[in-house]
Amino acid sequence: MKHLIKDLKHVIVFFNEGLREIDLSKLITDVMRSIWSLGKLKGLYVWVVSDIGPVKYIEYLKEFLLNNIAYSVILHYAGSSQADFIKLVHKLKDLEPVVIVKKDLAFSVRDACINCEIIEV
Amino acid sequence: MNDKYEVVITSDRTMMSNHHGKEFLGFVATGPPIAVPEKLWMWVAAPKLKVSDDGRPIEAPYGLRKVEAKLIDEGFNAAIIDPDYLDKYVDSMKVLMIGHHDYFAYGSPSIEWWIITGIEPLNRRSFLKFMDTPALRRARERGVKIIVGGPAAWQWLYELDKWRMWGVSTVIDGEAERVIAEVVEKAINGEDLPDYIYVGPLEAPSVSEIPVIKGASINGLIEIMRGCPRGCKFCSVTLRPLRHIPLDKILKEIKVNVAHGVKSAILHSEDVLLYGAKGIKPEPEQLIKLHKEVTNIVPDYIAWSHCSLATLKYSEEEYRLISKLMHEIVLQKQEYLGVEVGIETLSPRLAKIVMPAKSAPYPAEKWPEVVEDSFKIMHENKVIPAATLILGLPQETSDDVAKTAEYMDRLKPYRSIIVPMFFVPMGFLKNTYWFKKNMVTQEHIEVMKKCLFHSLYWARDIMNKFYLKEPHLAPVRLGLKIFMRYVEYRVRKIIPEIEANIRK
Repeated sequence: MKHLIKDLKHVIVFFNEGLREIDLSKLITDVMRSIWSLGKLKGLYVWVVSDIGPVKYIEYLKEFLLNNIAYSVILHYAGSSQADFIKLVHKLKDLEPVVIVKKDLAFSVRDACINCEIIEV
Repeated sequence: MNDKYEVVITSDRTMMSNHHGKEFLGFVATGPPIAVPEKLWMWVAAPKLKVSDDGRPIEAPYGLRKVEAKLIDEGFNAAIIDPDYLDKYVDSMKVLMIGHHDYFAYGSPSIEWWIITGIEPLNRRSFLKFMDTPALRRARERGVKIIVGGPAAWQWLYELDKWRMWGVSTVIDGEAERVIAEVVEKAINGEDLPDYIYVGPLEAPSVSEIPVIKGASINGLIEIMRGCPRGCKFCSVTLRPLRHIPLDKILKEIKVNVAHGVKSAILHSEDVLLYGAKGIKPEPEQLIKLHKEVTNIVPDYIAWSHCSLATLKYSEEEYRLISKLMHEIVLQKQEYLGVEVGIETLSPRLAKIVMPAKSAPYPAEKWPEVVEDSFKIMHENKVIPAATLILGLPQETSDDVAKTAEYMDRLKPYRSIIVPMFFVPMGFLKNTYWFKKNMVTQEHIEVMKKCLFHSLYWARDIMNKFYLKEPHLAPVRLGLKIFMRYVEYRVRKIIPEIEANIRK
């Protein structure tokens, strides 16, 4: 799989309505900082699975985008369902993605996450 | 290369115009059409371009030319097409790329005129109409991938509904050279595309990765540098690394323009006078060589896009460089040289906070004197600046604005246009607030009044002595004179009302 920008950390975000925008943005900013401190990486490739729908989900990440200057960021909508999430996790498994998942969805996806760091929000 | 382009690059008319060959007239499109019909306003700001039979404009915005060049170099069948000719390519195109300086008029100065008048600026109206043209609708229906970018890409984050409604596949924010080919390849292959790409400074292309344009740019604008070393907090350009374009590449681009009949050159940089410099002190030899070689091949006039006032003052005081460049080179072929400069504030306190290095090598405390001295140098050497001031900067106090208003009196004797702009959150300050109408204070109005009357006075002088003198531009000149008179009349009438509103 080719990627537009090399050396990005892959992050999968799985959430639905009811999440506070600020919480998600803060969490992703923390992920960004932690990977940056390791060096080598240039930013994040954020895959979003959410029933909020394409483009509209960006509202939840706007704070994060507005707070970022230095790092490259790619946002990619990857579907809305648990099945979409599982498909994506399989696709990215060799890249050891960080998975950020809304608490009430976590139980449904934990088993699928092999090779992932899971953060609940 | 046939004319059934797979990748079509375009923009709306306010971008796809040479503004009668007068770059500054392009700013008219940032205003709302008041007092005259929109069509007339549009004609003044953005007349149609000359195009080839297949709809390719002879001149096109420089940013679009760079995208076109990169894609052609990478083997794509891509071309810039005038918005009036898009329909011709809807059946062949797989990707439609759109660039803009100010898609939704959230940039300066558009947003300021919008806030003050309550009327949508022309550039926004034009872009909204463009996105709803039959050609665009048909392209969407056919599943053409729409990719948008350019300096105003950030504005799409505030227009998510339109983003979705118009079927924009991907927004690219930042220097695109390293990602553009791959995004387009994915789009052509029908692969799933990311929604948003922010290209960080570490992915900024090296000089060798920046392509040479294949067709002429609007009014001969070509970049001589990218990035800026001064680090002003409100500016996005300063986030990018500084690169100097080699002289041979600059000359190649000018030759492309000249070959297409464009007789002028606008040297684009955030600080033209730092061309070839290693720090923030100019390199006279490099600048003299640049100007000599450029003026040798440009048949008509040259202009600078931007320069910093501190470099200008230093250049003159240390090397007499402005006098040399102007009198020994530039003024041999033309009567004046236009440039945009940033004053931003005349309060040393605020300057120290938001743009501590803008005055370097002089201390920030001396910023107002740097501005005054550089205005004097420009006036004496027939450099005509269009200057900006920013109102509503974070941490600005009423005392800062009062200082700006007070010091502006010292700029009165110097030929210049000074445009006040409301703060727009960008650069290091992009996570801060938007300046809104209810934040306007009496001090802000005082600054705006001074800017307006200063600019009207000098605009008349500039038009009488230097600008729009060509016979075919007589109607534009007359129209602008009438409009300036109208603005003066209206402003004198409404200022007491605005002031009364603020006092309430």
